[in-house]
Amino acid sequence: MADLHREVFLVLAFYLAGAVIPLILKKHPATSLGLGCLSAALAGVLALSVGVRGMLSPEPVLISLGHILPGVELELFIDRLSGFFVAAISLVTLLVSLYSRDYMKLYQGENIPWWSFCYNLFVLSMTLVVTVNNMITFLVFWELMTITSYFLVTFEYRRQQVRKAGFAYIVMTHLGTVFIMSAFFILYSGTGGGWGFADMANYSPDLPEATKSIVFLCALIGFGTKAGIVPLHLWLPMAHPAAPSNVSAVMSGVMLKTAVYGMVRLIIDILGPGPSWWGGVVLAVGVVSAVVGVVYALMEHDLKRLLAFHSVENIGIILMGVGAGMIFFSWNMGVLAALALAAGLFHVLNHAVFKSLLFLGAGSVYYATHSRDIEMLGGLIKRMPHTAALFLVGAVSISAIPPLNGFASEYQIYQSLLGIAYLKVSGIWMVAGILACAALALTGALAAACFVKAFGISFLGLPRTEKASKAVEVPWGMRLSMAPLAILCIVTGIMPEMVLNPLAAAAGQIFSAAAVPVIKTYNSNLALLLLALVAALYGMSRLAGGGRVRRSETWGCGIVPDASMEYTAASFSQPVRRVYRSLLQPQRKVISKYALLPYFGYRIHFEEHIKSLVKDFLYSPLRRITIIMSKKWRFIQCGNINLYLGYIFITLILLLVWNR
Amino acid sequence: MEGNVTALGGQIIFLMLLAPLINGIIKKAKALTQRRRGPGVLQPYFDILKFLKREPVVSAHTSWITLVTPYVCLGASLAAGSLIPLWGHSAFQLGDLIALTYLFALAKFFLALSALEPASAFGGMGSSREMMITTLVEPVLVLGLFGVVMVAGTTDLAGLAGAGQNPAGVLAFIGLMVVTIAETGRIPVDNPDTHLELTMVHEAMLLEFSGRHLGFLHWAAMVKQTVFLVLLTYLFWPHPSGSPVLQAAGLLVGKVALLGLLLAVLESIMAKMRLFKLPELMVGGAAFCLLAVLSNSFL
Repeated sequence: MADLHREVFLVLAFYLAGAVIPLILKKHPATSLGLGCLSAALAGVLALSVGVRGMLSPEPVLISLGHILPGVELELFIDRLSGFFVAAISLVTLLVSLYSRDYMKLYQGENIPWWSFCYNLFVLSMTLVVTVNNMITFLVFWELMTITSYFLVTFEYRRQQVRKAGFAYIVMTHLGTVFIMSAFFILYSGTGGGWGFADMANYSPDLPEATKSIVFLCALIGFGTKAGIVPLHLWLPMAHPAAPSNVSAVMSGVMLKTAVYGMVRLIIDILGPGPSWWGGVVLAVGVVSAVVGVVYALMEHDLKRLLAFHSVENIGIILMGVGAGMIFFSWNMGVLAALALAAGLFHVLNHAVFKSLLFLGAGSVYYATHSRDIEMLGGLIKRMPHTAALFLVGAVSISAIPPLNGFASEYQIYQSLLGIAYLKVSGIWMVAGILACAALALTGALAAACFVKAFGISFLGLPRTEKASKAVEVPWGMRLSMAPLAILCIVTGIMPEMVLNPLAAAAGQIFSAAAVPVIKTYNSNLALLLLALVAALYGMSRLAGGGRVRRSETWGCGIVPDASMEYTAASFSQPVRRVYRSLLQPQRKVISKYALLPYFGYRIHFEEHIKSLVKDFLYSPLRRITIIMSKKWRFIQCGNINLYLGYIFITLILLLVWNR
Repeated sequence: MEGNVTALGGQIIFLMLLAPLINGIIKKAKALTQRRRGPGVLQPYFDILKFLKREPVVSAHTSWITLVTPYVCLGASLAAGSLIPLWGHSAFQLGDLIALTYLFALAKFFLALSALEPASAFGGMGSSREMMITTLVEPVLVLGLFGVVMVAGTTDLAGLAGAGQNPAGVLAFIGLMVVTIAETGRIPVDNPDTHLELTMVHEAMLLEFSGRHLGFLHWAAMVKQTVFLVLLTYLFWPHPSGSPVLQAAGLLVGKVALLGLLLAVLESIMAKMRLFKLPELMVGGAAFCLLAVLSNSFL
């Protein structure tokens, strides 16, 4: 057993220092920002080493930090699974902290020490959420994570839109927390064995099936809200654009993953094998989230809202892997279950890497142009070549294109889904497995379309506005903190075994599977073949005609083309909007003004909106019902303090009678 | 090991040389069904040679993406083709069926990006349409291929020779034929012979390319077409294993040419479809693939 006490204490100390020191040095914003970021980065480095060692150590590490409440001890329990999540969280936050030092200069005049305070506590609480081993401390840090991230989202609170987004975020995640708490309390009352995860896991096999199913559903809804599964994803596209880009990178890259951790820990580790419909439900939720998320992403022109919808998509893909694992688990096939869960967890890491890369890229674009609307951009590859290349790596990764990491993990998920079909348990499951594969293929194609649009419209062609034409490359600090993420996209894409095998071991530990076989992949060979072929073809072309290329104006039927003749994002996505209109419900309004005849139009006004079916059919009725109900109950709220004391007294009596 | 390298290199060169011939045969067959004489079957070779000698002119607004796209497209298509172990070089572990389909996505991604580079409306239109069609084609392709794979129990291409030779395979074959038509940009999905901006998809993306670059992209499209046909013969109508190389190669060329003739005839008897009618065609293809999956699951 590795001794990690010292490192863990240092991690805690650095995060706390990073939170407190900036507040003390409030008078010197530049120094306080620098120290806050540096402290978070140092803590990140240490936490990364703790995480990696925890992930590779066969024995879990237990570190006690003393009692925080009578009977509730703050203990850190780092097994392979927790180690993996700590490593993923620290890796991303480490680089984001370095990036923030330059990026936050954009917010001069705002309360930057407060940002440092919330950011450090936010990262600390995420690290603790995935390592604590009892439910009380889990909930404490879960809440701390939510509240600090709320303040990060509402950092620019003077804008009304930001306040609105923050409100939606905190209300929805708290509704989710209610479900998580219910799951915990049902487990606690069912087992009566204490708050520790280990106690729960020991008692849970004795629970009746129906209770377990209720706990499962509560956990799925509760953690699903945080993760952003459809239809509980509404807060994501609101909160991400409102937050500063470095915060969105952390929230989308890793905070959503703490919810995945919660699901794996509670549903798979604590509840144990369930009926196969649990896995089926998770798989279905994954498929729906993936497809719906990416279709809506394609309709967005706000770079950060677009990326937010892609988070919904990728959470869906992760859940497809987790769901496949649960299905195998219910069939008592530990090894296959471990491989499927490892595939899902691998996508957790990959999504964390490429999504934070993309959000940081969007941040750099915003830094240079002060615009997030891709219709206002264009031609940035000439002005910001490094940012463009880094963003392109992220775009190829998220589109699941070989030889980068998005393909590597989606490939493993394909294999797991196919595994469901190979086993021939029943016809329904075979069809379900293959259909899930088709959905994954559809998701990949739509994601590719979306990123051809996102990258092509904002970085290629001619600049569409003056802001875009005057953009300059961002400071080196920002570029250099994005580069390791891009390198990781390539390395984990070419050598997935490096991560997959430890993950399979971690998953094997959860399913208590016998020796999980060593996974071998062909990705490095494929990358080598591609590289060799492209190089050979280039050489052939050089031999055939030398390397000369002549540059000239684009052909535009006799006119010299300008930016107004370029394809826009709206026109790029029009065919998809039309083909998937039953889902998107586009509402179009065109007003043309003619001078004389329909052939001499001088002005045309075009607008098109898409409807959110979830909002119209789920949230609006719910909101209406809530308002009607609240109006009916308003009479009990009269503002008289004596009456409220009376309510409390009556409640107390009732509780005493109940628990007699 | 050395034998494997020879087999792999040989296969790549074989595919590079076969692709223009197949395209020539399809063109000739099309011309004959339309009562024209048409160019000779070797014409595509001359075209490519001519293109390779010419200096490319690229738009002043483009970046390095346009410069690498021709090589990436042809490279990815050849890599995809070299994954099918026609002469047993499977010892390399280069990739499987999933990698094969996703390599084409790599080529498409770069081509679609480079079409947006010159800032002209034509390229954007082609790129946008191509990506929309991809979203329709990709799920059907996976459905059809996996309908075959689920019987064999592996995605490793070495284990998939003739995996489609069962009743459900017929259904999957029909579905995959529809996919092949869409992926190779043929009528009724796209028209390879026109530069009329209202109808074109693939050609619109190539509009700003010229010289060597254009030659490589045309070659990539031909290789892709050939790889699809070779994959279909490999899955549904493979040559018996262990037959001598030359005989197997001859048989393969014959079979692929036959499938090419089928494509030519289909193209001649059909009219180009409106772009927004394509979902109906692809749903039709998907229905066949789904039937294959269903019959493999329940029968």
